[in-house]
Amino acid sequence: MADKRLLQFYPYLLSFVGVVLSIGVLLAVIGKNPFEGYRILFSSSLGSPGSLGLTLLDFIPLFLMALAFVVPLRAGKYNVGNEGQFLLGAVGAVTVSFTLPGLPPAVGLPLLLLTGMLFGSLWAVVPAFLLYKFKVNEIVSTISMNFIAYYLVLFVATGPWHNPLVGFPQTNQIGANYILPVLIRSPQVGTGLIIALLAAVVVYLYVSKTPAGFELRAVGSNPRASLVYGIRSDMVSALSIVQGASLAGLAGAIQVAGLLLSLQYGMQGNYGLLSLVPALISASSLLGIGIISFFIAIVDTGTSALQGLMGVPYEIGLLIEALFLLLVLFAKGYRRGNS
Amino acid sequence: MTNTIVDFLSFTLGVSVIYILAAQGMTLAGRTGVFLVYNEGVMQASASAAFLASYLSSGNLLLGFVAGALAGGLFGLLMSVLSVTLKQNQFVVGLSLLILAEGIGNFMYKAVIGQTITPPTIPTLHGVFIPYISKIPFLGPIVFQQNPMFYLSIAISVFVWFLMYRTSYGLNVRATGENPRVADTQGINVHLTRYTYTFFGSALIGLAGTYIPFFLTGSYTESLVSGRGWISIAVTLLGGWKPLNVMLSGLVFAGFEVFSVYGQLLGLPVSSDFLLMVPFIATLLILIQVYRNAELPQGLGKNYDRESKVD
Amino acid sequence: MVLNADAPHETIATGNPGTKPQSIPLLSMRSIVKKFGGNLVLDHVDLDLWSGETVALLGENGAGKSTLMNILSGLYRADEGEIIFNGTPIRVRSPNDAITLGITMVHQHFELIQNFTVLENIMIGSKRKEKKESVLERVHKLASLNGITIDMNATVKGLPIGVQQKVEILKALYRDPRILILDEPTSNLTPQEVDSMLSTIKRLASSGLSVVFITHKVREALAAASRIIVLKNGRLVGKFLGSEVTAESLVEIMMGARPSSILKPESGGFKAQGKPVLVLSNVSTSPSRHRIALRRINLTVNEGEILGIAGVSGNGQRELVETIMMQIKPSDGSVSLFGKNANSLTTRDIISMGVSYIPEDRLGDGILPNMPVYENLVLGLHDSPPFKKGWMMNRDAILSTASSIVEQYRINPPSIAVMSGVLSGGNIQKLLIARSVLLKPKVIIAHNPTRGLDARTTEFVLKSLVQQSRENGTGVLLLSEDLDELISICDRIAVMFRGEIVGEVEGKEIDRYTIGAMMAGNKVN
Repeated sequence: MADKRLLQFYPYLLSFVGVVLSIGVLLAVIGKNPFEGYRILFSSSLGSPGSLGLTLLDFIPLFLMALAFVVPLRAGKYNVGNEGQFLLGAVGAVTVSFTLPGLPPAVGLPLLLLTGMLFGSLWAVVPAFLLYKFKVNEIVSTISMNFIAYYLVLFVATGPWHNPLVGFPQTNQIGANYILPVLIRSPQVGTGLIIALLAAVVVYLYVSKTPAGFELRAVGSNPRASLVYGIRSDMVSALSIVQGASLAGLAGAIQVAGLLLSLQYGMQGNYGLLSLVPALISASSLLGIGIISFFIAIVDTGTSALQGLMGVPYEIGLLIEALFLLLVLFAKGYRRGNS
Repeated sequence: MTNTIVDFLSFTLGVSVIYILAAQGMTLAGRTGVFLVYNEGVMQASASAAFLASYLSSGNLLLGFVAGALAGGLFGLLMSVLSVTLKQNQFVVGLSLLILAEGIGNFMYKAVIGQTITPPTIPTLHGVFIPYISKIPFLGPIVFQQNPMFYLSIAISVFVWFLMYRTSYGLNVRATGENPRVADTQGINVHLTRYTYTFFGSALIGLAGTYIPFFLTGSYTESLVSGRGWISIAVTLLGGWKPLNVMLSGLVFAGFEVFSVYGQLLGLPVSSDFLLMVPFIATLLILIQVYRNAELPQGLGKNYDRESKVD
Repeated sequence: MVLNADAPHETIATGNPGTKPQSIPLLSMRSIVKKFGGNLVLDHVDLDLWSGETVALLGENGAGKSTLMNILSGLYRADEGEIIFNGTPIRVRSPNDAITLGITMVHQHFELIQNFTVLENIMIGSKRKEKKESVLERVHKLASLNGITIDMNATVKGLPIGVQQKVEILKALYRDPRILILDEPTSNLTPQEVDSMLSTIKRLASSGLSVVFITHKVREALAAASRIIVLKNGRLVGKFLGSEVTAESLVEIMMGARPSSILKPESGGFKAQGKPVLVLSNVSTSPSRHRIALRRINLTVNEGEILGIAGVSGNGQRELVETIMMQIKPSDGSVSLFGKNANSLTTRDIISMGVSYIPEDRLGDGILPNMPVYENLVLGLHDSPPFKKGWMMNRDAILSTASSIVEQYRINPPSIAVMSGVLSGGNIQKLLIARSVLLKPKVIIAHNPTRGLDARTTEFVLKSLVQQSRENGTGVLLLSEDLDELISICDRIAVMFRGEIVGEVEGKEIDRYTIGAMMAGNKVN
């Protein structure tokens, strides 16, 4: 039955091919040389240890935020607030650094990361509670929290911790004792990447192997039947948002401690939207999410270079991700109609 | 003081067009069972299309509106193909199209206009002075000196209400959102109905997006929409998917937005950052009340497949 | 009823097809074939219908009756075959086509929009451009013609089931059909309401309308139809004039080999003298918009016995099982399990104490459709040994248990990895039964476990329940709308009506007429 298993990959493969082709088409449409475009895309994201390092640095937040979205997705909930939770994680990180500046790294770093996770989960408590108690749709509530988070970050980044040398909402740099150590020079692999991968393993074990993970998936499959058989569906699904949020908070903390070294207004970039794509394409396979997240990191890094070197609007990256997702949906729908 | 209030209310009515149009668009689609969530992105993409159309035709606003509406409608078509015909989950499709729309808006703009020091502008909508009534003190300047789109948005609201709730045609349309199987067995074309209203609903969302540069700023920026698309979903929910309530609800949320801007002018002792949060905090609080009295179309968000077996 | 279990009925049995004045039927369906997925549901079926007659389409659950009529009414499309209406071949591509031709169907599951009024429901999809007032007038006329009284401006949501059924019929009549199809019109009615419905059906045909009514109840077919057509396993197996055939021969043709009597051993046998395992004393619950209140329920289920609850659905059965499973808390009285008060326990506690539940809505409440069979089997049991070991789920135990279950119960397709949502109704039910007996339960609550199943699976289900009680001492509470089924395996039968237990009978007193009276609300001591 190897054939059958391969068959289910066809939509994804075809869509992938379609996406790659469409990059060329889009470039041609705006009057740029497609081949030059492909070359730059590839070399700036994978072509050298330096570029691979950049791609990996982009991969970490994308992957963690995709996980933050997929855990509640398995329970049937859409945590589009992972962006706000990410930012709160970052706020948590700088808070630790600025309020407890003297801690040794062995204590401080774990504290920083845990605080990031905590702040991230706290940011999901209000939407989760509203969902549990009043059945409020989590899409609108978590998005509202995102916007509140933007302005909160603005507030913190222009407050007492504001870096006076920068004319931009950004805090001072965190203490050297709070910087995540780099493990490999070139390509740059930091502790952050290891933590992200470990987190993925934990998520995998939790969702697939534990009774709690079973309940999560059961609720996503049929909340009524779950209720009938003793699972508290409402609680499980609301809690799943908080659980996912902790991963987004972790991403924010790592982004501060491993890359930016400060809290910056707008640091969430496009991570929120981009992180939805891997999970929506491949909800049930963590490996798939990892692979697609890496692909998105490649495109994200590559399109920055495309903008700088060829003047191509880097939104082409968003277009590509969206196209990938839409092609997969189209292929799934088409196949369903013919089976 | 009175002048400030007059300005506040007048501005609120002007801003409400964004929310009312987008929310009525959602209502149209929602009443047939299609739950749109991509307002934020479609508004961006339509604003871009409208701006470019208008700019390239030397300031023809009408052309811009048409372009914006068509852009929105196009997303509606995609939504219908993927969810109504190909039966993919409506939220997943909506979110995917949202990402596409966000990307396409800025992409098109940058590709056509490129990088500029000062962004190009187009003339914005003028207020219309309705003879006689606009001279009424207080009410006059607020209600009767708005730009044409405001009156259009009220007219559209009333029209949607009348169509949906006062005609037997509207009854059939609403049936597809309540229980598509029933509608189908009674001979109503569920698919066509959903396609139609998703198209027009998304076109209205496109108009809402178009209105932002045409009314507020006169130019296009990346942060054009800044959350209004998401809030318009809350507007629809608060309005219970009923056109007249949605209209009122749009006015309320416009009030919150304008308040957060005016708060600074009024010299409130609150940081401007927190004032900007007001519409979103208000959303959260209002949502609680909404769900207490929920009476949504029963079939909202669920795709219909005629051949699927009822156990 | 003694039946000839051996006689095969491959050939189509017919009585005298009768003396029909018109030689050309109004409708002819010829050689209809329909497949769902890989299953052949209709196998070259023919059907003729003349105008002004009432025909019963008789057959067991799953015989293909609804499918055949769904094709005629445009909901499904036939894979092969043709339909000839009024002498010309027609294509019915959608319900719209059917309605335009004058073919209207009233479905078994309610097809009313709860949020709309009665009048609005009747008006939906109507081709006429009429003002509300003239519609109202016309509907009132139709209603009185057929002996129906309803408030046209009432919202459907608040109306009782029996009334909603009548709204359905009015809706169909409003379309001015030439052929009216009724799918199991009596399924939710008390015996008395059934009589009223049957006479309404007889009245319908008097105005030249042709009526087809789908049923699996032989008595009703004989009572209301002039002609009876029998389907079995997707094939036409008999055409008779109502006046020229007996109930017994119809049952024989319909069901083929009658399942042998596995059922209740004669009284005497294993008399349930065990201790009470489940006791409800004076249990009441509060009413709410979607719930019937239970009123002072007193019930006892003993070890090793099967207590049946009879009653038309909608009289509190759902509330009863949900209260026992502690999804609803009693507002008064107590539920005891093995002597201990269970009022403050959770559903999970109840399950871990050894109570199994087979829900009525097998798709909606029973399975996790996009998860594999082996995971479905342990729903509710996933947190207990042997399926849990330490922190993790015990995958080996789960997989091996699943393999042996699939084999033992002959679940089709025979794979533990297949998604449960693709299984047929019968196989899903087997899955639910298997799950309910997996960890040697002490109490089983089964709610309509044989609904919509064919004869063989029904027998299997009932056999399993009997086996559990007789061999393992499990106390079984069986709620069912099928009196025959209850009579065949229960030691005692209680009757529910409007949230109360209105009577209980035991042993020799079990008699369908007494029970029928209780189901209609007459208390019997």
